[in-house]
Amino acid sequence: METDKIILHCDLNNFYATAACREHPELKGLPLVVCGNPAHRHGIVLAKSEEAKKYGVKTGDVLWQAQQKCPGLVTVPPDFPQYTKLSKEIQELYRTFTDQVEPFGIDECWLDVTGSRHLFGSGQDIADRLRQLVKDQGLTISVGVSFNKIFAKLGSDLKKPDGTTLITRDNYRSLLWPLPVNDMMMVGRSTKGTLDRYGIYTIGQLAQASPVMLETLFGINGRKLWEYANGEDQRPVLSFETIAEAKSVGQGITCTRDLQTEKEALQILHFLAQRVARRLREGRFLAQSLSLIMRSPDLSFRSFQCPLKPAGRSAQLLVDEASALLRKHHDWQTPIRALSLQAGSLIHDDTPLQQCLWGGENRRQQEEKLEAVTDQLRQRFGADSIFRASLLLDMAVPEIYQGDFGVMPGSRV
Amino acid sequence: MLITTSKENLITAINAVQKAINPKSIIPMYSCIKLEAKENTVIFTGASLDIGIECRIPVQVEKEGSTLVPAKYFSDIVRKLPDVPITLDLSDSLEMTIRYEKSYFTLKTMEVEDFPPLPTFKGGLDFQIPSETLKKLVRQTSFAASADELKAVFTGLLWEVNGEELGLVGTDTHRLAWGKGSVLIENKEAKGSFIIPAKIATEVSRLIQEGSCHIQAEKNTVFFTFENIKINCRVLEGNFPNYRQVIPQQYVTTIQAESRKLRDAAERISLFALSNDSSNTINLKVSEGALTIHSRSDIGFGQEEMAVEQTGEDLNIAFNARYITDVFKVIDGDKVIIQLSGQLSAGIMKDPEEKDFLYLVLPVRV
Repeated sequence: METDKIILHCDLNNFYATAACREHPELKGLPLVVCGNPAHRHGIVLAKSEEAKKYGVKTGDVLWQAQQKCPGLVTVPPDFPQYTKLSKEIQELYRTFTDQVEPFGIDECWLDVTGSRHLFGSGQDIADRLRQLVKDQGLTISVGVSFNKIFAKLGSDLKKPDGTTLITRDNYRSLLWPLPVNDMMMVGRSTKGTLDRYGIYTIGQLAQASPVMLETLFGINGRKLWEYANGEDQRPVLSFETIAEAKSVGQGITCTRDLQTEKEALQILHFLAQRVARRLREGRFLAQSLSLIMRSPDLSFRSFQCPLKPAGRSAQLLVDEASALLRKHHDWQTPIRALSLQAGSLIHDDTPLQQCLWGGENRRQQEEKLEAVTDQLRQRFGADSIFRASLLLDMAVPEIYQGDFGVMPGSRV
Repeated sequence: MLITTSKENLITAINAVQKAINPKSIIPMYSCIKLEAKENTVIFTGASLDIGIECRIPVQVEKEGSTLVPAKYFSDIVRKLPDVPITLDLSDSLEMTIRYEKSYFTLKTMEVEDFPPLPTFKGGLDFQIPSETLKKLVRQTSFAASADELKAVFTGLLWEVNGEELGLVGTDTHRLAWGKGSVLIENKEAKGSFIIPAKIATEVSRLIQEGSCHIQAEKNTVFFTFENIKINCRVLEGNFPNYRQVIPQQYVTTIQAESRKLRDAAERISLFALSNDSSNTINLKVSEGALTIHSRSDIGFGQEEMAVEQTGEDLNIAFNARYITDVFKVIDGDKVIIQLSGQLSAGIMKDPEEKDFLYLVLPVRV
């Protein structure tokens, strides 16, 4: 019989908040939240410290709500570049134990340490050593150790902060089955709603429900839910090299003020397209489709797609197509609050490409070359060494992007 | 209405007009055939928003009249009838009786007044084209038209009249086929062009048997009249971009190869290209009087070599195999000429015996 895998799920505790304290040790021990700038309409709680948690502050609270719950709450702006850097460092640390590390978001990872036991000891040993190593870095993790990914993830939720929980074939019924069903991955709000109606409130009830009924309710995913609840999650931890290739490259932004005119929107599209195009170039991709997603002030959103034929990736192409979509589908009866661009159906840029009459391929290739050269210039002489003049105008882009792609500090009112 | 005719006559007319009818049309009369009996003729008419077809058959009319019957049921019944004289009898305005020997069927009819009159020609281009020329030009160009409804204009064929010359162009933007023929036209100075769906052009060329086709084109509608059939077709909106501009005038490499050999080789090599990607790429290498075609994929590798008459430089280029083999549907001659002007430039394929045909195909960038 094949022996069980040993899978660890490592979850950085209160990652953003702890990272902030690491940078500013004087904040340690204070109730603290990481929060966007309310002036730019990002005023929601992204993360909170253990101390703030005690006051009932929740991720997703609007800042004033959090302040009501916890007077004297300290707020810190997010520092995404720092989070990314820290997250990469921690992942490197995990990789010293196994090459099978699958990141899930910025602060979670699965590790398959089945093959590492003879080097580093049991799953529990490895988990405890990892916790100590992360602590040395000024952060803490909670680790779930189990025989599959779902249970490991559930396990890491049980002892916070800085704890190891072992979920075995003997104890999963007592430890995990009493948990509310929506603690399990894949059970979102709507799935939970359906399960509630059938009296399924806990993971244990889900595990003991009829798989046939679940399949009727949710299709193929119903069967999977049942399997997961019963510990039959066979999915491997995807090592760094085997992680599925990017399927799309997108960038969105909530504007600092609602966009009222096409001209303003075009400027934002240029801003987004530059970033998407740069990432396509970095990944050596060409896009065969483009989506434009518009969010209204009432937060409702609409999404539109068009094919890119022939495939391309220049920012100019993305802007041309996105602005055509915008013109076709938006009449400016309502302003736009947020915009995002997503380049999809990606292919590698060495894929043979059927040439097209009147497709403007020469022009597109020239644009791509030009943009690749401006990438290099920015790299050598700084992000604001060369940029579109239109981006100098008052642009409804949050501060954190200043200095990036020539959004000049102080260019906004 | 009371007429008697043969099954064959009915089938001929139904087949002709049915091409215009969409049985699923949400406008009920567009799923119907109109029958109108007068002066020893029955006129069958089928129409939809973009096309109308009228077919006349000579019959013995005992009583004139007209009606509207559902195309699908009428055609299904007639097709199943034995080959004997058939009588259509509109005894009351709500039902038509189909009778043969001692059997009969009744079909519910619709209000014939609702059926819109077909448009009539008000003036514009007006010429005659021999059926043979029409069939040839449509065959030479329609295969290159696009099937992608997103680029609606390229699902059409461009017809360009320049005095006594008629040119047809079909393209899906990856390749382009052009053919030219002569027409009979009164106004030798007449110039004009229109684009109609390639499918309808194909239909016209299928329906026409012999003689010549009378074509009249006004701004939004083109009329085809031949034998006992009249077709009107709405033109596709939009224009072809300048196609003459994309035809290279100078070549760095010209080869002449045997049509059949080249086609078979390209088809075999394309077997190795299929799984690569949608571009179905085969690589062509022209060097020292030999053409080598190869492709490599997960399946394996294939290579063919053949002797060709080469003038100009050696050259490597890649094409979608289907675009190369497609042209042999219309090149009938033993030889084919390929003119190339660079790795990323359009290639031209021609039949050395046929001056009035040209096929342009864009390469694959590898």
